[in-house]
Amino acid sequence: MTQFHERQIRLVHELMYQIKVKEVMTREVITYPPTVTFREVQLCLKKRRFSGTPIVADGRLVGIVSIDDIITAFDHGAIDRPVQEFMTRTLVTVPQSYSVIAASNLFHKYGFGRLPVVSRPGSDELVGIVTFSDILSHLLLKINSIAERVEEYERATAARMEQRRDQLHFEIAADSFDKAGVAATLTKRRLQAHGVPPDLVRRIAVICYEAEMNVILHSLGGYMDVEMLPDRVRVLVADEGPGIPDIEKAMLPGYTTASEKIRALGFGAGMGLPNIKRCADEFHVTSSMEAGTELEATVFLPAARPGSTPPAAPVPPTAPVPAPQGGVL
Amino acid sequence: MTVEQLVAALGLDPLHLGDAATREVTTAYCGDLLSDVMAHCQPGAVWFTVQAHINTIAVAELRDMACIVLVNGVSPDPQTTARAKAQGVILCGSERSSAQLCMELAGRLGEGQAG
Repeated sequence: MTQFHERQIRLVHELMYQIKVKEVMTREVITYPPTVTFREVQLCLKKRRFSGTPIVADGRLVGIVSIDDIITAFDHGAIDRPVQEFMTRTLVTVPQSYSVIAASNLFHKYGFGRLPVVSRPGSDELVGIVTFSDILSHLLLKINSIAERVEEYERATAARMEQRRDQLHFEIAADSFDKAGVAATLTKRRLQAHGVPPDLVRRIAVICYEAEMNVILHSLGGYMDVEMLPDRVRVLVADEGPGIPDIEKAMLPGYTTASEKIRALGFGAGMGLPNIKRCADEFHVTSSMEAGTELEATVFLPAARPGSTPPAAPVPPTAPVPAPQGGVL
Repeated sequence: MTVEQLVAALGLDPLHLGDAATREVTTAYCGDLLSDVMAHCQPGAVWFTVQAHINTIAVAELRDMACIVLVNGVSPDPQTTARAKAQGVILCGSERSSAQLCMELAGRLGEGQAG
């Protein structure tokens, strides 16, 4: 037997111990009083394709009439006699609180097709009837739902793996002007490939570009991580220092510590951090002269925005930034 | 107005047109501070600037601009032109200033869209 089969059988066994008779039994039982004739019972069994029916008197289970009993009655010319004369009185019952493995063992031991279910051990109060096929159908349902859960789990795991792969990491060297914009451009391409709406792609690209330029222009080097999650894109940038002496000042538009040479290239407008803050839904920056600067900016994707469509669906681009203050014709 | 039409209308020097010269120009922006351009330039713009280095290309690419026009006769170094080609960014040049070019362009954007 393969390991797979052993595992399957262990599962079925475990389930048969877990499932109780009351979960699988039929509660609406057709019963007859002891005074009914064998012929009436025979007609009912034929019509409903049952192999036997319980006989109940004063709410107590007193016997069972099976097809065998009817044949015996026929042999004795008693087909029109009341069933109490020939019915099976030594009853095998199963309490409703027992596991279906107990019922299954009884089916196996006696070769019965059905078992009357009683309210508790030793009781003759009939509460239902159970057949082997009741147990089988319930088992199949359980196994099916377990299989579905396993599938769901596997899908979720695969999705998590997918997410983990959707992380970009860039090392950024100080003064590497020739590499400037590379991290932002690669991030933009990846977001476009993911179907992120163009306006959000542009906002994230601005964040990445400004953060990248800050590391190149003002730090001793650092890195940028871009995490693409189903509901958000998170940009984390850290550098090795020397740190921002006064973050509040650095957040003021126009405030710059850039050198003349850097400004001549069009950098150092003192707008880097304010630009990042304006493009991000969430923005944090911490800095110390010892540990350097750490910046975290998050942009939420449409799935996480109220009343919006999922990222896969095309979303018309909208202007993400305030109207330009000049220069547009 | 397409980039091709813009080049003809302003008499621009097409430094690198590539295969996207039919791209639509919808607006314009003048600016030499890259962060300011990043913040305010709209997608589909023609960008007039004196900044002729590879970061100019990165900014245009990131903001989805229609094309860059290097003004005042500024010419790009070979590295910058190479980057423009590699990233499919349209690069033009002109001897005139941003202001002169904008004045000439004034009112002409949007032509051909309405009709």
